Amino acid sequence: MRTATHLLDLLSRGAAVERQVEFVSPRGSSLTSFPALWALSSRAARAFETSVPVGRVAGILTSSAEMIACFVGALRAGRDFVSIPLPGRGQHPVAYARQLQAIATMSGATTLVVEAAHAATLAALPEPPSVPVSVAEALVVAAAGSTRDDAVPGELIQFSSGTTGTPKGVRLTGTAIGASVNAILRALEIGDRPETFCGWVPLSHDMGLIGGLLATWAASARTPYRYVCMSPELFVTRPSSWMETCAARGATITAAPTFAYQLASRYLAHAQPMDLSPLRAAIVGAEPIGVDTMEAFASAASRHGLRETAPCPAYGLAEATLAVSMVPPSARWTSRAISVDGKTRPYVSCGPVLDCLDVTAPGGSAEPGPILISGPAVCSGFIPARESTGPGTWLDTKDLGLLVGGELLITGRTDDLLCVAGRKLFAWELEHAANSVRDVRTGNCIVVADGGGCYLALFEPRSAAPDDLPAAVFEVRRALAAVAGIGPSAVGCLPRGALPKTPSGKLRRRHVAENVERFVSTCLAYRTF
Amino acid sequence: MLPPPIRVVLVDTISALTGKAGRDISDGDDLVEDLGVDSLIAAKLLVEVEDRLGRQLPDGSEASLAGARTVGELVERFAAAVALDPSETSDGSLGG
Repeated sequence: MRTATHLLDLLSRGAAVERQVEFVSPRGSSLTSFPALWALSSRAARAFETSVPVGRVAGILTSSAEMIACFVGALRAGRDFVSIPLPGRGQHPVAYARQLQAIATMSGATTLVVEAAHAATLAALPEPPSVPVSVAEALVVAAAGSTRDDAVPGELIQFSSGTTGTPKGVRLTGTAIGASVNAILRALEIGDRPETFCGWVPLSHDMGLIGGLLATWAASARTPYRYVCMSPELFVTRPSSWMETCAARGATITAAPTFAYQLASRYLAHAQPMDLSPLRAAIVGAEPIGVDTMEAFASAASRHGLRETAPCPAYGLAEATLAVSMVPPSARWTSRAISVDGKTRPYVSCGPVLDCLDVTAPGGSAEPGPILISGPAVCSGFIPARESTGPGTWLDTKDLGLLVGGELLITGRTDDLLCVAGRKLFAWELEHAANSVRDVRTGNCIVVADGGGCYLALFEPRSAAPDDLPAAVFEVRRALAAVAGIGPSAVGCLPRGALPKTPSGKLRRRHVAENVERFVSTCLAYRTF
Repeated sequence: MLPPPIRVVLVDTISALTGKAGRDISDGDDLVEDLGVDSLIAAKLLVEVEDRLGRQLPDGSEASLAGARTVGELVERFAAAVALDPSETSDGSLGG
C-alpha cells in the first residue's frame, strides 16, 4: 500500500490531538505537546514569510521546541530547510566553522537559525559564518501572527554528519518524507495501543529527526503516543541515561546506532534492575550490525525484562529518507551465513524491505553485490548536484549485500573496501575485530589504507593511562591479523577522545585517512611492522 | 663459535617483529591467532633468522615452514630444514 501523503498533512493531523512531548537534558526536563509545537511552527512560518530574507533557511536542529518550530515553520512558509549537522566529537572549531560555511554557501541559504544557547558559540568561532544568524526563540516571539499555509511547502535538505571531507546534502520532499514515515509506522506495527518513543539521536541526524520526531508526531494522530526527546549531550556525558530514561518513561520504541547498543550491553550487564519489558522495538541501525553486538545486547537487556523480539536490526541511508528495511517488532532477529571473498561468517538480517521502496540486490546463494533502491521515499536530488534520481531510476546505495527471501543482508560498503595484498577487506569488519582487545575502548578503532598497499590501525585505549601500551599495540595487530590474515603495517594508540566522530557516533574514517600524519603525530604509542 | 639455539633465535625474532615480549611467547602459541604472524611478518622472520643463524635454508623449505601453525612446530621445521637436531633448541632462556 502506498499513500502519497505530504509530511505537513501528517503533522497537521497529529497536532489535532493532545500528545505529550518531553525534552530531557542534563539541565532537567520540560514538557510541551504536538499541538503546541504545531502552533509555534505557525508563528515561525509567519516570521519567515514576513521578516527573513527570501531563500533557503539553514538551521542547526538541536533538541528544543523553538528549533523544531523553525524547521516545520520553514517548510510551511515554502522555504527549504537546510539541516546542518552538530559538530562531531573531536572536530576542531575552525573545521566546524568552515563546514558550516561550506554548507551555507553550497545550499544558497540566506539565513542560519540556531537556538539562543548556540548563537554565542557561533559568534565566538574563529571564522564566524558569513550568513546572517537568527535566534529561534526571538524569531517565534517576534512573529506577527500565524501563517496562512498558502505557500508551496519547502523541502528538507539533509546534510550528512560529516562522514566525508566534503559535506553533501540530500533533497527530500515532504511527499518522500511522508512516504517514509508511513512505511516506518507500518513496519513498527503501530496499532491503537499507547506508545512512547524515547531516543537521544540528534534531530540533525535522519534517525533522530525522521525516525524519532516526525514518525512519532505523525502516529500521534491515531494512537496515544508520547515523545521523549533526550538531548545528545545527556547520552554523551552519561550513556547509561539512555536505557535508564527508557525504563523510567516506559518506552515502547527506541532507536540508536549500533555503537550505542554496544555501550548499553556493558552497562546493562551490571546495572541495578530496571524494567525494560515495555520496550517492544529497539531499532538498531546507521552502522554495520555484528551478530555479537546483537547477542550481547539481547543477553544483557534480558536481565531487565527486555523481550526477545525487541531488538530490530534495520538498514537505511539518507538518500532513502531514512529506512530501507527493518526487522518487525513481532519477529526475533536472525542471522545467515554468507561467503564473502571466500570467507564464510554470519551476517545479521536487516529484515524485510519497507513498502515505500523497491530494492534490487543479488539473491539466493549469489555473491553479495550492489544494493540499488527506487521508489517514492528516495531523495529528489543532491547538493552539490549528482546523478538524477527521478521516477524509474535506480540509486546505487554503495552498500553491498544480498536480498534473500525478501530480507536484506548487508555485507559491506564499496567505499570502505581496503585492497590489501590482492584481498578485499572491509574497514568496519577489522575495526569491529579490534573491539575484542581488552585495552581497546569499544567502538574506537579506525582502520585506513596506508598508501603502500596495506593498512594501519589507530585506536583509543579503554583507560586513560593503560599499563602496557606496547602490549596493547601488539594485541590490536594480533587481533586484526587473526581476522584478516594480514595484519596492519602500523598500529597507533591515540589519547582518549582523539578519534573524530560524527554527532551520531560514527567514526569519521575518511577524515582520518586524509590526515593520517597528523593523527600519527599525536599517538601515545606507535609502531610499524 | 656455535650458532645460538634455533628456538632462542626464533622467539627473539618473533618478539622483535611483532612487539610481543619474548618471555610471553610459548611453544603452543598459534602463530597467527596468538602472535599475529601474517605472511609479511613470516617473510621478514625467514630473512632475519637466516641472517642470525648465519646459514641459508635449502630451497623448497619455505613450504614446510609455511605449514607450521604453532611456535613449537615452527622450531621443529626450522631445525629440520637446517638439518639441526631439534634437541639443540631446548635452551630455556628466552629473549624478550
